[in-house]
Amino acid sequence: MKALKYIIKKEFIQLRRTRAMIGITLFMPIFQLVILGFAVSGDVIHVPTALIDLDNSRLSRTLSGKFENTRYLDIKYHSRNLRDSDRYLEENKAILAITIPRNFEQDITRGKRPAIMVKADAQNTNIALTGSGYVRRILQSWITSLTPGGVMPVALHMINTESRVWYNPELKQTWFMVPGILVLLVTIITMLLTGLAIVREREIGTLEQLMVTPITRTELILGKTIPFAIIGMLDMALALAVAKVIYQIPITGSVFLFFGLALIYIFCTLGLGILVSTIAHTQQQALFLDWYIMVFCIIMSGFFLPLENMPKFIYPLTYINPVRYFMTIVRELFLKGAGFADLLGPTAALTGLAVILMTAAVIRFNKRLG
Amino acid sequence: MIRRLFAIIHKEINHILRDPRTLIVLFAMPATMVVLFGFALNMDIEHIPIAVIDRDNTPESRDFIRAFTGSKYFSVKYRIDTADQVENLFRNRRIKAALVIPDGFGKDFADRPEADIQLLVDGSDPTYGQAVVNYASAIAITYSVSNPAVARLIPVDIRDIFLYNPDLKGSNFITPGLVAVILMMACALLTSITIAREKETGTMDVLMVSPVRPIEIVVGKVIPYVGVSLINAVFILTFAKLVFNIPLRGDLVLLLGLSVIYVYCALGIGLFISSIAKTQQVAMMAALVATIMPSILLSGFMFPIFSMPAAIRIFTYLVPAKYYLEIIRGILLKSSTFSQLQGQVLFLAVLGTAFVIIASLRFKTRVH
Repeated sequence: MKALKYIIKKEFIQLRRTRAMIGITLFMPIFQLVILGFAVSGDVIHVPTALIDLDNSRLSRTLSGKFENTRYLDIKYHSRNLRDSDRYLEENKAILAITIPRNFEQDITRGKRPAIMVKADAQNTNIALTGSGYVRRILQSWITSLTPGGVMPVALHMINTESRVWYNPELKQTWFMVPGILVLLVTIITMLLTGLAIVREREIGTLEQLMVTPITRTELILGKTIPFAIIGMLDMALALAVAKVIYQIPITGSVFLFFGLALIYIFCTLGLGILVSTIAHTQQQALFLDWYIMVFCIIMSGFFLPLENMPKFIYPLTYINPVRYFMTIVRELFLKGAGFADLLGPTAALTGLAVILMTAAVIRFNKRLG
Repeated sequence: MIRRLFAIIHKEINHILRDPRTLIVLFAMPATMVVLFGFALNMDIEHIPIAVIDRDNTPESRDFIRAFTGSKYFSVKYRIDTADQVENLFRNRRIKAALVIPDGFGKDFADRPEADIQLLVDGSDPTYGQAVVNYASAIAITYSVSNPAVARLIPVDIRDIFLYNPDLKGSNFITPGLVAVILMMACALLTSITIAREKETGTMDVLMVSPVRPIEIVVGKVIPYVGVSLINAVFILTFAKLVFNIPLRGDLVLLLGLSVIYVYCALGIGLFISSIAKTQQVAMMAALVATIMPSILLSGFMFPIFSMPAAIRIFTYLVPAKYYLEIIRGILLKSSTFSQLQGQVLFLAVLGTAFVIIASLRFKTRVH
């Protein structure tokens, strides 16, 4: 066990010697978390919009005012020319073009039901649908405000939906995405660190030197994982602080449980890192393999979009993705205050994967050395 | 000058061809990524699991619930009696929302101007939460208006026209985005170690004492990789086109031409990182950490840039993927012309050249 201590010490000395490494492993992830968390606030607001008022009457102007008075739309262009509705979209200047038709006021008072035209750049289907939904809702509230003025003869038989949102009442995307980014950054760092450290020793031949010393293989593997596990946990702690202090996410679950499950998770990523190192011959190959696995893990983790959305023939692939389980754990624990009992399923899966990955890694590692 | 440049290019090509395994991996990986993730990233949220609590239990309430069960957006998994059970269902991730029809709903709907329903939403995933709220109120409005007596009273109609992607196919948006993001990472990773490797193995000193100038080394290293990456780009695009049937409405030649500029920019970032890093390991870590998340999150790949806070929007100007996303989506879906994409091209060219120049300057200071 004494030998183990020396290997761990050696890894830390090596890390300290390349000062850039400390920056990359500790500061870069935290810096990114700070920036990226704000970037993915994700709520579709300030949709750049062009407003084409062909009527220019009292009613059309009050309606225009409604469109301008919301943070959901950002009226960038006003126009009286129908042709502009295409032009702004074509030139990438607006996503929505709302056209109020000619004789709008007259038609309403005569009960002829004029039609507001909403043109949307539908490349991003979500934004197009959300944007047209905003227009609809604004129009709805404008119509209701007309009723007492006598424009509308009778009250409507409408069903009102009153929504009560739990756990994240304002539906803040940051509360959802920041825990996700935390998971991804720690994954990238820990997986790469171990993989590259081993491939590098093999490439420059020092791995063979280690093998002729009395150090056992178990000690060698532990010595190669423990330092990176420590760095990973350190990253987790820093990221947790960022989530709490900068993003003010109310972390309702147990912090101890978080660190306990994080440790299991880090064994998964370290196992993956070692596995990659036993397959790759050069650092470059390890890098590309790591990259592939990482992007796979990110996309298949439910980080962006609900997992349930995936087509059936792809969904089973997410079962082998440790990021998926830890992502669920972190989000549920942070926002819903989930306890151990609630997280039994993902925890069991994560532990299983950790055991499988580590065992496979150790076996492959021994084979490569033998 | 030209002769020396060619010597460097020749040397790099030898490097590339000597390791065919990496080359195959380099072509195969991005193509499979685009296909797999193109399927995986499905933006259409449908069949949201919900529970229904019908406290009214009248023909009216049952008819209204049918509007939910009949919709493709919701799938009613549980019919429960009390709201107490909802929390448990949320915690076990069985449902995303619960629809509560209060007592007296049927009477209100018939006699009064407005009737209320209640929606309990699990907001821990805001994407889902927002979708639930939007879909449910849309169903409620459509249901109210479907009564012809009511429809006549609504004074204004609304007509949606969805341009460029009229079928609202999510893959038309996601797949070109994936091409941009994956190409960025592949290029930056590719060049990130070329200089660091020479430093580590000591061959850089040999190059340095030769009459080759730093800028020649850097440019000589970029050119072969532009070739490789361009082939890669064509490969990825062809795959995306074949599998997802992405429309090509604009000019293919223009797209390929602008792809060269993007590839050049991405390779420049890799070289820049390589010129700073002392070891391959540092270069790789930096390249991966610096490209993977920003090109996914700050490029507009999924999250609209116009909704980001102003301070963050400034950072997006440094992300080449942002410009290429506009270029590739523009040409494929909107048949944009060169004059409509000038700004993006200019930014890419300036960014790429800045990275290449800084990389070669870093070189010079190192020699003295």
